[in-house]
Amino acid sequence: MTSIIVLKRRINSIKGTRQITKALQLVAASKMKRAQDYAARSRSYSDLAASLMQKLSGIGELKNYVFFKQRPVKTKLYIVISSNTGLAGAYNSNIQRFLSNLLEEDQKNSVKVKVIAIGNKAAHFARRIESVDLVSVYNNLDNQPTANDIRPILNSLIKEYLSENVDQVDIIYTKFISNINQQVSKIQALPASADVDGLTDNSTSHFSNFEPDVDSVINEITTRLIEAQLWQSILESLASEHSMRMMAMKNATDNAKDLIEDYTLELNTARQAGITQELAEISGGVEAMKA
Amino acid sequence: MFHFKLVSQTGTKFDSEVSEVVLPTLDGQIGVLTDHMPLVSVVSNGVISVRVNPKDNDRNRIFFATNGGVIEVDNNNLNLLVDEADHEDSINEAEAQAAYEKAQKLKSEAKDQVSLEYAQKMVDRQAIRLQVASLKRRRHHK
Repeated sequence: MTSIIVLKRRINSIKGTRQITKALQLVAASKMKRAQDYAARSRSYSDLAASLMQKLSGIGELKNYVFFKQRPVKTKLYIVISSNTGLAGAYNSNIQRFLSNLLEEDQKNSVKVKVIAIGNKAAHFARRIESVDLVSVYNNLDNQPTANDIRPILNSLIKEYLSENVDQVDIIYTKFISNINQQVSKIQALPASADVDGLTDNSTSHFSNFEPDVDSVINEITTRLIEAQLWQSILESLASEHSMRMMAMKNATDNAKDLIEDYTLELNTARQAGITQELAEISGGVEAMKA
Repeated sequence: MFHFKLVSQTGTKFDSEVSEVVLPTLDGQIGVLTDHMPLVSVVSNGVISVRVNPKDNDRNRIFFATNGGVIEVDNNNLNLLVDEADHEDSINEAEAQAAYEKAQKLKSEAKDQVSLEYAQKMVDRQAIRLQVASLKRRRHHK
């Protein structure tokens, strides 16, 4: 039987851990709330960008513009959104698994892969794989990223695409379905597609003027749309990360509680055994003196 | 009167009936009044000024600092999609001045093309913010 001192030490240490996980859980919960609010606020931007795109698709021949043109895919660029820190349950490993599956498929089709990592975890992972060319790592996004934080990522992905270094750009992020359900998903950012979901309004036929010209307007709006996509995926990933971290920490806290109960029981048994033995020794001694 | 909606990534910044909006586009400043023809255009760095009531004088206009976006005018609706739009009240002149100087410093220290571009963007942005701040100050002094 483990000694009483060891058990006491163990219980104290678990209590310390429980305090930490509990605190992390509360922090993650409040961060998740904020991330969700933040994501909701940006929705009007995405909606407006999408409706503009919808109107543009009425001009036709959109397929001939560089952002929309389908090229044979020789190189793909993945923007992988992960977290900077661990302790977030399966958040990062889900992303890794998803990416591995994609890479396997790309290897079969002999497509080269480049990766832009958002968050340290994705960078660590991409660096370990030989066939992947890690273009850049962005690990300075905080809980409420601003347009200025997103711009460099957007610029570099557009640059890679326009210089034909890559023929397709996908964003891999964790979709926030509900507080307990998050799923890793992929959306295609480039070549852009003109049919945006969620909009059935087809009032596109009427005439509009474009200034300075159609090309720059289309390029600008497409950039906005990709920006909105990227932005939305980052915010959803953030919300998912915090909610998964919260769940992971909640489980850890519950586990700690169970462990403490188990050890306390064991401690009590050990203490009781000690007392019983002492009593037996004393009464044994008394009996011996009598004799 | 027409409807003006200003949307940035961090939320809707303005959404109401107005009588006149002046905004900077790639081809120069344009003013939008009621019954403007349908138009899609690209907004550049600059100051957006909004006159809510036709009888308001210039001093009562509302200013926003912006760093580029897209506008769509259609059927007396003006939708403006921008990266960032700072309302005049959210700009503190001293802070803007400090940020401007910091951006200038960043620009002078920039080593490669990428950081130079970034610094130039910051300088432009802060310059516009300063401009809005001074417009606001002028109004309060009058």
